[in-house]
Amino acid sequence: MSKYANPDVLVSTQWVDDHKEDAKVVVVEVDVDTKAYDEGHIPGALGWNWQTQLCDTVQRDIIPKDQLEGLLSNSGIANDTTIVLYGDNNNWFAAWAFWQLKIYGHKDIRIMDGGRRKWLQEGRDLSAEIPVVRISNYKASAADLAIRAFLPEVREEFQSPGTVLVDVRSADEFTGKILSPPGLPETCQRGGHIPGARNIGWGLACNEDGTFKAFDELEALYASNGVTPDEQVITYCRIGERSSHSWFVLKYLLGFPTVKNYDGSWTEWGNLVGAPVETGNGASA
Amino acid sequence: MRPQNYSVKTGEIAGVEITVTSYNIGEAFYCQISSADPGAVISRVKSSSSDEAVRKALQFARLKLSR
Repeated sequence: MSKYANPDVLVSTQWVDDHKEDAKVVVVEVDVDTKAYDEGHIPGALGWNWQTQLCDTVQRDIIPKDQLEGLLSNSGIANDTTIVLYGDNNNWFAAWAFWQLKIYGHKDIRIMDGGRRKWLQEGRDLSAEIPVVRISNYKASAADLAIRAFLPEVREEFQSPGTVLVDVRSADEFTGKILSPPGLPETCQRGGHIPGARNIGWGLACNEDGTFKAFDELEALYASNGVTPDEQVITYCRIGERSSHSWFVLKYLLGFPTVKNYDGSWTEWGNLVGAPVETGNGASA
Repeated sequence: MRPQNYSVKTGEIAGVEITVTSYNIGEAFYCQISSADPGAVISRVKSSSSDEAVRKALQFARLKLSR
């Protein structure tokens, strides 16, 4: 992991096995499949439900600051805790949690490379026990919006020479053949993509076992699609979760200086009246 | 407790590429069917045998995807 721009943000399954009982380490599982945690998780790990605990459940938004403080306090997390996130499906929602925690300024967050799949594949210990937590008094920073893009900015920047949009959805979503993948309810009125966006599927950043590809492979993946560190990069998908995974890769593994996640994503853009839409293939990986 | 027999296979139902993930934790056998991309859960079954878990999960997935 040493060649990554920020190698400390990734930890191995062995590292987690060795440190899961450390007083300053809190391991948290965040899954697509919110039932997976209950069947067995890393001993001592907490489970966060992305649908109810990492979203504002009233208005469409990320979790508000006060609720994040409550979640972290109730998880026994202090401001100097090392949070290790892991989850199913290539750490899809672990990356979503990582992005939100960075927005609110938590310093030491890591992702377990390979996620739940690798842990299970290696036959490591699981537990069904929910750990008893000593409640803390977490204080979050004001939201850092430098890593989050909102609609007005995307509308202004999507055709600017210094900005590149990366659409990380599947080819069928990108071209407009389908509005949303099977099993995912959030949808849109129109199919296609934001004009000029490059289609680089989020899963291409991962190996078969769910671990992240090596630095050189990731760099080549993005460079071959014209995505380079000298530009501002805005990632998007359908609701902003797959794109937080690509945001993590670009920002932390490749070290691109300016990367934002547009979590409004296609379910916002594809529902706008009068927004320009491109269909068919763009440049796709 | 430790997971055993972890397996990931691919397939297709109603034109949708799927992954079939199965394993057991002790006497509980799990099977989950997800879309290959992006990985949305289509069905998941817990059963007392591996064969039954896979069979039922595929059955539920077929029902759901053929609608």
